[in-house]
Amino acid sequence: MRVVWSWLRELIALDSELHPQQAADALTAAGLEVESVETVGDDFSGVVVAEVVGKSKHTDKLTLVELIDEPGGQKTDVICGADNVPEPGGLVLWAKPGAILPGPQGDRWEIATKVVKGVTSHGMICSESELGLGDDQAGIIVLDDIDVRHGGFHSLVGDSRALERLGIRDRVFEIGIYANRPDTLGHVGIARELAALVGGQLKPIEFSDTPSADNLPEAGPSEAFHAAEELIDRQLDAASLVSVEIADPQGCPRYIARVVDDVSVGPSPRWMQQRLRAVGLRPISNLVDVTNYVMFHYGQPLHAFDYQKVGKSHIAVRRAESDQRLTTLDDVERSLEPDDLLICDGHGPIALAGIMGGKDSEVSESTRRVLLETANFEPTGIRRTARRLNLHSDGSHRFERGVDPNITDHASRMACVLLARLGGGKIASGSVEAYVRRIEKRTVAMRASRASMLTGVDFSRDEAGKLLSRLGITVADDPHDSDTLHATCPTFRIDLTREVDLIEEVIRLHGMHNVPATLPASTITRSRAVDPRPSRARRALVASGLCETITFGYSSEERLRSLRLDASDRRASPIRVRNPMTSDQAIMRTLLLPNLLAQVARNLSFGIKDIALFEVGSVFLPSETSRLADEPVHVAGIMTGRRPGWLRDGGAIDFYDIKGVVERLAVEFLDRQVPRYAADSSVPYMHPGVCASFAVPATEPDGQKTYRVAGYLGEIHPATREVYDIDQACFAFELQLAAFPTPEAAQMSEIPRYPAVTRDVSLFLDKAVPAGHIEHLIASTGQSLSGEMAIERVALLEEYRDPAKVPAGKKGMLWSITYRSSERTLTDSEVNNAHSAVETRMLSELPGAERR
Amino acid sequence: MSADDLIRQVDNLGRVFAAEIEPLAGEQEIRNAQARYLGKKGTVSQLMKQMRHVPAAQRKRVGSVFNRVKSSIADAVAAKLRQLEEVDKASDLARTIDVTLPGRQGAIGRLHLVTQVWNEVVEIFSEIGFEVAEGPQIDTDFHCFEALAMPKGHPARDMQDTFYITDDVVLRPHTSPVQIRTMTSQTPPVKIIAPGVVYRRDDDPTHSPMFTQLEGLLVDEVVGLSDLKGVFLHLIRRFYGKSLEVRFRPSYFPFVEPGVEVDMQCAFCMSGNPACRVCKGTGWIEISGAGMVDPDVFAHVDYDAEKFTGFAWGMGLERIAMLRHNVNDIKHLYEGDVRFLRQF
Repeated sequence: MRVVWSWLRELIALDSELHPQQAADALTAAGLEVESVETVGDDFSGVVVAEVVGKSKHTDKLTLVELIDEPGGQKTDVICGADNVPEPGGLVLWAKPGAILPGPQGDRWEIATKVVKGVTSHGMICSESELGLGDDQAGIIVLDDIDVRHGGFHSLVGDSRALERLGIRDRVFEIGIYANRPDTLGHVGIARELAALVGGQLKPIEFSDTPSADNLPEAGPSEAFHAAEELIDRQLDAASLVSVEIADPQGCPRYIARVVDDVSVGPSPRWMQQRLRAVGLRPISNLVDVTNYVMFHYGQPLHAFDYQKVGKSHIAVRRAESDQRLTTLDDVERSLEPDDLLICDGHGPIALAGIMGGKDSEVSESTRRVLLETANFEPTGIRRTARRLNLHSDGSHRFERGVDPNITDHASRMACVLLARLGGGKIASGSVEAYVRRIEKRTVAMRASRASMLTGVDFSRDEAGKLLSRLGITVADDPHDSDTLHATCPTFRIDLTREVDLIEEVIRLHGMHNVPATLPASTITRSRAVDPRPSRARRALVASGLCETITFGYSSEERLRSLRLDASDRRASPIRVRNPMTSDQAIMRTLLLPNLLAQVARNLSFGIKDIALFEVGSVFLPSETSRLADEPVHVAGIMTGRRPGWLRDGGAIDFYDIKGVVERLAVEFLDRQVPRYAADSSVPYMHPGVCASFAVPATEPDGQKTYRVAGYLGEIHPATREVYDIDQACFAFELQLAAFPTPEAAQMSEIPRYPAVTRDVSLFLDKAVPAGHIEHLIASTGQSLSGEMAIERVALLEEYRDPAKVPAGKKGMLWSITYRSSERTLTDSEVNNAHSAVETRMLSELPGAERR
Repeated sequence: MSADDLIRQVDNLGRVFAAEIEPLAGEQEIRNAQARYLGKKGTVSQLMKQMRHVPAAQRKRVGSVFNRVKSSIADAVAAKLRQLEEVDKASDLARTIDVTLPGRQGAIGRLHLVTQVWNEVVEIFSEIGFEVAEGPQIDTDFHCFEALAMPKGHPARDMQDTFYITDDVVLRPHTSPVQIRTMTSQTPPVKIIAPGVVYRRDDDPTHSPMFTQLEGLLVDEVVGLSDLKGVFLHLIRRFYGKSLEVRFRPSYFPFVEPGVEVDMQCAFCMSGNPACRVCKGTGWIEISGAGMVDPDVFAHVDYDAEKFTGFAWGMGLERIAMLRHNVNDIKHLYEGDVRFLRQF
C-alpha cells in the first residue's frame, strides 16, 4: 500500500509535529513496515509557479510570454512553443534559468537563458512530461483553481510551498500490509494507527448530504468535503431512480446506491491526479478518479456505473447462473460459474461483484448520470472468483481481506460530494440501501496476567486498558475480577476476536522492542534419535575426497529418460509437480544421479574436467499405501576426469576409484562385515561391462543370513551421459542408505601380540576367473586351518595379462597371504603346511590354474 | 718359536692391521679386515696356535700381549665404524631438497556449506535442550496449511506460493508440518527444531525454489515472547561469535499470535555504517518470522490452549549462512559448481 504523506497528514491532528521519517519509523516498529520513503517531484529544481502578465505572438509558432513569480515582481520574457498559453492572469510552471529538469531518459539537464529568434528567453514554461509528472505532451501545464487542494489559487505565486500545495512535491511511503489488517488499506486506517502510535487525533468528519446522517467520528474526516446544500438536487430522489435487491445476503451484507446527476466528464484536479499517481494509479477521468481516490482514502472500493446503461434502473446482487458470460472492463470475456457473485441489472450481469465492472455499463465521456455503488462483499467468495479468473484488482484485494461494513456509507457520501464538486453535477437526495447482514461490534475479555505471561512484560490491567483505548477500543473493567477487562472493538478491526488478539495489540503499542530476553525454563527428557547414517555417509565420502553438493528435489522428464529405465520400473513413473515454474522442476527425482550428471555437465561447460561430487538426499516414489510419497534417502557419488598426481599426471579415474569410495563408505557402516560386489549388466544407465551390484550382509526375519542389494556402482552408460553432452567417462554409485544397518558402537578387537608371517602365491589361471572368487577361496581355506592359526589378510599384489609373459587365455596373479596366531609365534613348518594347503586348493579348484 | 718371537710377530700384526684399516671407508671392508685378523682363520688366531710351543712360564706374558693386540684391533674397528657413522650422519645432514615443490595431496572433499551450517545450528540448539524432529517433504494440505490456521482461501496462503502434487498434497513450503506431526504424536512439553528442505515458487538472488528451513517449537506451561527472544540471542551470538542484539517487530502469520519479525543487529557494520551494503544502513537484518503459537493451532492438535503456551519460529538456513560467509546469490548453493563447493 502506497501512502501519501500530505494526504495522511491532513487526516490527523498530531500532538507534536513529526518528520516523515519519524512517522515511518513509528509505523515500522508497530508492524506496518515502511519499506521505502520516496520523494516525488524532487527530480527537478528551480521550478516555480508564475503568473502570465503579458502574451504576444513572436513568430508563427512561438509566443512571447511575460511572467512574474511573485506578486508585483519584475516581468521576465520567456518564449513558449505551446499553443495553450493562457491569457494574462493564468498560472503556469516556470523553469527558471539554472533549473534542473529530468531528461526523457532519466538524465538531467539544466535550463539556460538563450536567444530565440532575436529575443532572449529566460528559461522555459513546462509541460507535464518535461517535469516527469505525467505523459501529457499536448501543451504546457496551465493551473486551474481546482488544482489547489485547499483553495487560495492566486496565493500560489510567490509561495515557496506552492509545489507541495499542488501535490506535485510530496513523500510517499510504501507500506507492507499484513493480510489481517485490511483496515490499513486506506489512508484513514494508516492515519488512525499513526495517531495511536505517536499521540494525536483523527480529525472529525464534516460532511453530510441528508439530515439523518450519523457522523461516525472514528471513520475519519475531511474538511474539504463539506457537502454544501447546493450540491444536492432536492427534486431528484435516489429511491425513485434506482432499486436494489440483495439475493445473496451471505455474499453481500450491505449495498448502497446513490445517484449523481448532470455530471460532465473531464480530467480530475491536479492534486488528485498527483495523489493517484503517487499511490500507483493512472488518472483517467474525474468520475473514475473519484472512486479510486475514495478507495485509497477509506479502504472501501466503489464502482461508478453509467446510469443510462443500467437496465430497468435495477440492481440485484446474486450468484451467477451457469453458462453466463460477462465482458469486464479490461475487455476480456469471462465465463462465469454459479459460485461467482454478480451485480446484475434488469437484464443480466453488469459487474463481477467486488472485483471488476462490466464493459457495457462503464462510465464514459458521454456519461451524464452516475449510479454509484458502495457495497460490502464477503471475503472468501471474492477470493475464490478472483483466483479462478486470475483477476486481481485493488477492489478485490480489499474485499478478499475484509472491508468494514460500517464504513460503506461514509465512503459513498464522500464520493458523491467529490463527484458533484469535480463533475459539476448534483447529488440526488437520499440513498437506496440494503443492509441485510448487520455486523456489530464485538466485546472480548482479556486478563492482564495472561498478557504478562504471554509477552514476558508485566502489565497491570490499567496499563493494558490505556494502550488498547488508544486504538479506538472501548475498555471496561470487569466488576468481579480485578485481572480482567472487557474490550469493545470497532468493526473495522476484523482481526480482534480473541484474548490473544488483544494481547498482541497491547504488546504492539507497548513496543515489541521492549520485550526482554529470558531463556526458557522448560526442560525435556531426550527422546528423539536422529538417524546417524546420513552424516556417517558424508564423513566417509568427504574423507574420500568428494565434495558434497545439494541438488533440487525436482528433476526433468528429459533427465529421467536419460536413465533408460524400463517402463515397468517404479522409478520411471515419478511424482509430478502440478504447477512447476520450469520444465526442470516438472517431476520429483526418483534417483539422485540425473541431477548430479546435470551438475557435472555444468562444471564441464566451465572447463572444469576433474570432478568428484556426492549427494545425500531423499528421492520420491509414489507410495502404494498412502497418498504421500515414499521418501527413501539415497547416497550417490560421481567422479570423472583425472586423479591428483604428483609431479606427473595421476591417471584417468576409472571404475576402481569409485569402488574405492564405496569400499570406504562400506567400512564406515559395516565395520568388519564384508559387502559383496557382483558384476551386473542389467542396469540401464550403467555400462553393461563396467557395473557391479553392491550387497550388504543382512539377516532375514527368519534368522537366515543373506545379502541385500543396496545399489550399484559403475561407469555411466554412454547413451545416458550423451543426454547431458558429457563426453568423458563418468563413474558413479547410488545406494539406499536404509539398506545399511544402523551403525552400532564399534567393538575393540585385541591388538595382535605375536608376529605375522606372509607368504606369496604366484600363478597363471583362466582370464575369466574373478578376483573376488579367488579371494573368497583363499579366505574360506583359512577357516579350516588347524589350531589358532588364521589367515589375517589376503592381498592381490599383481594382476597382469601381457601376452609376452602370460599364456594365451590366461592371466598372471600374485597373491600375498598373511598368517597369524593370536596365541603364539608360528613356526616355519606350521606356516609352510598351511600355505601349501592353500596353494594346493587354488591349483586344483581354480580353472586353468598352474604354478608360475 | 720363542716367546719373544711370538710377541714380536703379534705386535707386528697389530701394526699392519692399523695401517691396513686406515684407508678403508666401507663398513663391510672394515669388518672383512677385522675377520682376516680376528676371525677363526684370521692371522691373529693362527698365530695364537703357536702358544703351545711357548714354555708354560712365559705363556702368561705372551697371552697378555695377544690380548692387548686383539683388543687394540677391536678398538680400532669400533673407532673406525664410529667415525664412518659420523661421516654418514654429517653427509645426511648436508642433504637438501626443493621445499617449494608442491606437496603430495589426495583429492580434497568438503561438506556443503548448508550441511556445515545445519550441523552447527543443530548443535547450538542442542545446547539449550532442543531436539531435532524430521518429517516428509511431500505432505498434506492439512499438515501444511489447515492445521496452521490457514484454511483454503485464506489470503495468507499467498505468502508462500506453493507447489502442488494434487489438490490435497503439496511440496511442503515450510517445515511447520513437522511441528504439527510432532504435536499430534506427543503431549507437551515439546522442545524441537525442525530443519529440512522446503519448496516455494520463488526464484531470485535471495530466493531459491528449494531451500532449507529451520523451524523451532517450544510448548510448555508458562512460555512467553521473552523466552523466544532469549533463544534467538543465544543462536545469533553463538553462530556469529559476536555480541549481537535481537529486535522484535510486530508481524502477522496466521499460526502465531502475537506474531513477530526477528531482526538481528547487522554483524557486518555492528549497526555503525549508514552506507552498509548488507543492512542498507538500517543496522538490522531480518532473519526470521516467529511468534506465540495461535490457539487455533493448538485446537487442531488437541492441546489445551489455556494450560499451555508456546512459541514457534521459521528461518532460512541459507540466509544466515549467506550473511556469515558473504555469499551473494543463493543459486551458488544449488548449482554444484566445484569452484564454489571447494571454498567452504
